[in-house]
Amino acid sequence: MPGVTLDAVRKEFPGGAIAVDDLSLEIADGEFMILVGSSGCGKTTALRMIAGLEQPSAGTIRIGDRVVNDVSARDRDIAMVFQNYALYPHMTVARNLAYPLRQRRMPKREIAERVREVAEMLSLDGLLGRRPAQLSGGQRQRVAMGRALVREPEVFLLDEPLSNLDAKLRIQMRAALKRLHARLGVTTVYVTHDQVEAMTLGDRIAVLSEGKLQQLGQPQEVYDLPANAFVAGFIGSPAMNLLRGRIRDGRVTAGDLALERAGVPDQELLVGVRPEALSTASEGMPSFDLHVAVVEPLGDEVIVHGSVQAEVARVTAEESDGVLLADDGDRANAVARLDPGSRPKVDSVIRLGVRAADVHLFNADTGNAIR
Amino acid sequence: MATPSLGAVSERFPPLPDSRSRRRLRLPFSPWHLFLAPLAAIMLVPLVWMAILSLESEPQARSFPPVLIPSSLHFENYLTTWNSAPFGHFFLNSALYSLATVAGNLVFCSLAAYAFARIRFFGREVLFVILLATLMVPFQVLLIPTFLIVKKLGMVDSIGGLIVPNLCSAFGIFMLRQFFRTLPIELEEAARIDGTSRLGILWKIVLPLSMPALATLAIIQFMWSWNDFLWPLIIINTSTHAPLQLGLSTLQGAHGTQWNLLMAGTLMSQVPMLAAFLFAQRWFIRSIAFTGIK
Repeated sequence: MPGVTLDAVRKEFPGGAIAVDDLSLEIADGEFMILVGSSGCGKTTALRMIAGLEQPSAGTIRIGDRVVNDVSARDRDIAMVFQNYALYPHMTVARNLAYPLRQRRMPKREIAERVREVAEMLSLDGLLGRRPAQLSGGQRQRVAMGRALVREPEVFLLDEPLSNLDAKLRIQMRAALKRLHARLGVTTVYVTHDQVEAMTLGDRIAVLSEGKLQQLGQPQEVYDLPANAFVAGFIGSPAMNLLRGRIRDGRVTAGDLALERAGVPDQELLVGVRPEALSTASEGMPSFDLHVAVVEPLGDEVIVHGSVQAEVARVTAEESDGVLLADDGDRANAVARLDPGSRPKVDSVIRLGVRAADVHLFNADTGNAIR
Repeated sequence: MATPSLGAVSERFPPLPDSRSRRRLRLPFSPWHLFLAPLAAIMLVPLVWMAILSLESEPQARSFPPVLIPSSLHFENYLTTWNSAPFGHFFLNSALYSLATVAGNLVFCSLAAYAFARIRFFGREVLFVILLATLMVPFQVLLIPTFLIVKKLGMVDSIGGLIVPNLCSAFGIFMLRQFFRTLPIELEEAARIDGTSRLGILWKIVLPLSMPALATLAIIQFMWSWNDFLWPLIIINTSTHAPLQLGLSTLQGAHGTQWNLLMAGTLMSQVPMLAAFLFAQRWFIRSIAFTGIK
């Protein structure tokens, strides 16, 4: 089974909008690759170019050793699951599943056999005679998966396949997808804006923003060592707190947070602290005051929203925290994930600490990580 | 111990004082019907009158004021009409003309409409505007050029000459294009990935989902061809090739018209129209095209 290679791929739409800019990716044989990013970041366009539904403006796309730029979608031996499933409404489930095989003029007996197999694998046995309109959302999703699987394609493309399901079903299907991939080992490219899907499903994830690749790596690696402030703010939930600060003579300051970091030249910084890295301050820890505004107890943890004395740094276009709690002069919003024992009161001030090693530093101008 | 009866419950929860005043006067039908039913009646008047006239004797049909309730019914009018001209031939010619143009329109208009709706090619928008512009040119203006073309093709006074200029219509292309554009593009993309050619997509995905539009086009074209008088009048010279409407005109003499017979013929000519409408009606139900999309 072949991998997929994108080499300096660019997509410019008529009118000048650049959806994908100089994207290079090597997706290994059998790998589960996630393209993740906020809406409009170019991830779906990238997927559609692999599928052959869009023509790249520049660069080459390879499936295995074959350059497929000029190969039509139907000759690429790929299968795709669309966000809205795109089941053929005038055909029954059985005919939907058989369709790709019939198009390839497979013998009838073999078609029946494969449809039966896939239906069994996805527990669609009882639904074969129904039309898409008579199915629930989850069933439609499984039919769409089945229609892609039945062909045993070389590459499997999924465009936000779980985004139309309710939360419970999404978790079930997520696990099912992972099992399926482990069993079939098909090279898979999966587009999502949901970072939980990205973290849980991918062998590797590619974070995109404004058509550019921001970081490529294993999920844990991207979480632990974000390459820049965008990735830091995007991966992880709640998002990483990013405060404006500076470093002078090896001493980092951001509001009342201060710590030592050797070997970093003087510069303006974005100082990042993950909400889950924060805890009630103990002696000798770098720490800062949080003015508590909202407390969300979740049972196993407490999410505390508040403000700290620092300038907020905006890196993502769709930062939602700012809507809930407006930034106020020289104060920035911050979020902490604390253990449920520390039940902070609204309007109180708590002192939060963080291990110096858990503080991420980014250059304030470029946003790039400083290590 | 008895469970409290419903009466006891309603005593404890008496109806809200204003619930009675809120009860509105309910008609057993939609108020729209008060407006639409008389309108429908007005539309029916000519049809009913045609039916009455077709059953009257000639003096009754010609009398003024018109006789609305004939004293006797002359069903033999139908037989007389049928025998007075080669009506069988007329029917056959009309059927050929109508069915061929319906088939032609379904095939050619859907091909052109799909190209206009989905295939990107140079000059598409300009061509489409030109196509739309032809809708504004009345047929009377095109009559002579069309006749000259058909004459060059050697098809004057033949069924072929009737059919060929009407195999495809700008209206049909426009209507189908508008409908095709409402179909979810993902279905076509999925079919492409599943290995379907352009023509295959049109045939296996787009057309089955466009049944309501195709049925509408078919019935409009059928009606148009079946009732067409002007073009057959120009192109057909012999009664063996005349369709119904042209044939009916033979009942209208220069010195006098037998209205009862003309109406009997007209009524007979409308039967296939009604049948076609009833047949196509089941396709006019709401499109199922969107049910596969979440």
